[in-house]
Amino acid sequence: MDDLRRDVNEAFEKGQADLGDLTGARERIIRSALAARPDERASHMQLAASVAAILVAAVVIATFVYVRSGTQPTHGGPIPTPTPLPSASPTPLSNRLDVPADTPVILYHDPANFDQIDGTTWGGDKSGAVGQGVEAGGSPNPAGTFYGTSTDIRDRTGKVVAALDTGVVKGFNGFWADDELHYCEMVRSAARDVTAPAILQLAAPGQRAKSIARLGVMPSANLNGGGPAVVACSPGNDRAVVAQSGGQGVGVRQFWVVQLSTGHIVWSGGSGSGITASHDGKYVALTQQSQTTQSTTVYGPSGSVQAHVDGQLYLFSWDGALAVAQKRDAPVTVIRWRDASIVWSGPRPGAYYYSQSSAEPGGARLAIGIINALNEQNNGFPLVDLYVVDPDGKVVFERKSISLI
Amino acid sequence: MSAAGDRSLYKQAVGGDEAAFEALIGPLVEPALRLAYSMLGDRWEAEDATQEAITRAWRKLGQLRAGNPVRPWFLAIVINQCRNMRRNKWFGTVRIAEVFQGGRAVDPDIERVDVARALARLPSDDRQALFLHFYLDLPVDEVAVALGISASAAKGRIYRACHRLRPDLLEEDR
Repeated sequence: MDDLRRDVNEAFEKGQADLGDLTGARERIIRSALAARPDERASHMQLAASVAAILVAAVVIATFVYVRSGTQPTHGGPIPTPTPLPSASPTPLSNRLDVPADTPVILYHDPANFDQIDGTTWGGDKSGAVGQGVEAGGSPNPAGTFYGTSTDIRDRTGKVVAALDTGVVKGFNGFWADDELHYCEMVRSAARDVTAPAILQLAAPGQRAKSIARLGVMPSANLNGGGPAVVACSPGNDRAVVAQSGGQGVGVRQFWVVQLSTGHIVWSGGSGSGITASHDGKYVALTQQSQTTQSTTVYGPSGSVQAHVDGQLYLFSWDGALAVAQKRDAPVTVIRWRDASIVWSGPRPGAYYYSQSSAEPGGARLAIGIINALNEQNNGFPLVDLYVVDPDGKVVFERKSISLI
Repeated sequence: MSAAGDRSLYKQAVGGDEAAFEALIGPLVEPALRLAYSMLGDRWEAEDATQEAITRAWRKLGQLRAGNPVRPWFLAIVINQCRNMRRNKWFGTVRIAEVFQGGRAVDPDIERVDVARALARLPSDDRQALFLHFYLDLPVDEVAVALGISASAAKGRIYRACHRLRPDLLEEDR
């Protein structure tokens, strides 16, 4: 019987292999489910509004009957006529973002026009429209000076600077480098329908890509998930970090720190549930998790262990001193990862979930998007509350209900 | 999680505490997703079914009697949701077989390939019982709750499925 059980489980396991990587699925599905559930308060409000409308209608009809019968009401003034409340009709931002071309900004979808991209400075003092073309999502470089769309790469004025191959693989698939000009990407070394080694390339908008190294395995396109992904790209520091994603709930199977000029592997590491790296590839944080525990090891430039952190690290600040982190069932935090001291804590988990974050290029501030499950969605994308936090833990500014790109 | 812990979470969740609800249902999301995938054969439909099941679980949590286990109750909602989706006229029945047969390399171990093929040929009810009992490791009484049948019927269904898969082994087992 044990043999049969084992064989049956192996058969089920094979059937489940195509399910792919489940990392993050739990949070995403629960978040979506809670966001989609009917809002009882709204139902009550609707019920109350319906009752009120019926009462008003009854009063109007009664008054009409009184008037028609020549009987005047004995008390009260004119019967109030219900007037519809003005519906919210937000209009897209029309003022252009007025900052120098190299000032780092945070980009997000315009709340009234999802295809429009708006920007705000890291101090929150200036906001404005940047461009169009992000209806299917976008991918900005760290400073927000370029962004990739589903068809091209545009600069901050919205001008197309390079067209993308719109063949089988649609859209910008690169990982922007920290020099704001280049991007790293993983491409197939063979046809899409076969599993084959992947190639790390360094490219720039409108320029021919340069192949750096063969790394990892790109699965056949008819298999779900898997494949290598870039997590840091730094021409200035001559480094990239590439992680091979796993399947069956294992987020990372292996990762490599690569010298961009030679393609040599500087050092490599093993498996984990999640990975992030500093913009320059100097620090790599690999998270391990079990059913009940989650911990992250931070590695230094040559692969030596620098620190162990309880929970998951999502992002390093640009100077590498701080990180966005979260312990299981605890708020999102900004910490000094070397001693795990907490600089800032976000709202309590439950209705709030980590979404994404970014580091201020050349600065020390962190922008953290936290999904508020009570928020509505914009074009199917969850809305986040954005917190920009300085290194002292002060919230520089907050922006509610936006969709980051 | 202890039974007492579950009860406490349950009370809080019924009272509308989202964090408690998430703590209660969160660990069941991956098994639910795997179960849904085994029934639907498509990851995104499996996610849809799981998401819808969670939304229903939130609405119906008060109907679960305090002290009863959450896992089989929730998985029963998932199974019902998958059945509803499979009833949809656009859902191709061929997809179910693909979960077990499509696009995989041939295993050199012929006997195990035979098990996989035999699994694909099983009636879906029997396959669900095996998935719950063997793969998700649910005890028979929880399989029964999840499938909405009696414990003895669940035991019979598991036994019948095993017998169809490998009758000789069961003979030796007696």
